Amino acid sequence: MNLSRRMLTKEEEDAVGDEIEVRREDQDKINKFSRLHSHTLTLEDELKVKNKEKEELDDITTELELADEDDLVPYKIGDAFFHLPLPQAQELLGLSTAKIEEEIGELEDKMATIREEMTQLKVELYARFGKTINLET
Amino acid sequence: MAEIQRRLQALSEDYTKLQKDLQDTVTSRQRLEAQMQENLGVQQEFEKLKDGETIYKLIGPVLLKQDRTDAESTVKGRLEFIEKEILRLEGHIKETQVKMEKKKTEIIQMQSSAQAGAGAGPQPVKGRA
Repeated sequence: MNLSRRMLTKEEEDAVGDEIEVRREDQDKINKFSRLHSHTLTLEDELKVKNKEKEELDDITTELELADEDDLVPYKIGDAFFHLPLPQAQELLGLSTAKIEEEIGELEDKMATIREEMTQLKVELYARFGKTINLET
Repeated sequence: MAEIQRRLQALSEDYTKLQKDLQDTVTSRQRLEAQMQENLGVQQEFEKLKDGETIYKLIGPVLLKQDRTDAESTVKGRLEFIEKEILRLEGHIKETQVKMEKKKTEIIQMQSSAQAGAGAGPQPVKGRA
């Protein structure tokens, strides 16, 4: 917990002096900050899920490298299992892994953009309101 | 008077933190319970297996053959770990509940001393002459 950004004490409140007016644009910025923050939380959850999937795909790819060439691999497609020859299973795994890596990359890019926007809003809002606003997440 | 208010605020925050801690621990305990049931179910299935029947594990989209002894010992190990964790969490839950009770008492005491102070009329002013 960031204690330097707690609620103001009575003394601190008095020291601030006249309240700064919250204009329409300020309120919009505050609302936007809040919205963006919610969005990052959702994205973080999605990323967690996708990273776990990727980990499983990596594990099974490694396992299959040790498998017997002549074995048939039960591979799940939809709700059914197909007994595939090893090379084919490995190919499908490769495609799935590449797809998930791409999705992870996109999510991470989106997060970075949102975080930049949030930082910019923080700068503007702290400049105007100083200690009377708390934007720490 | 302001001092008491400040302390009440701090105590109140402590209590809220303890409440959240309790809630998180209870949630974890419930999750562990579900995992335990799942693993017990698997163990029961293993016991029904005849010789020669194969065990598979789903990793990603692939069903990977498992060695029977390995699979059984993995499940057994997991169950032992879960049981230990559940006991640990239950201990933590009881501890947290005790702490919360104590904090509640502190808050009530402080509130009544705040009221006593307010009701006692003009206070002796501690100041520099």
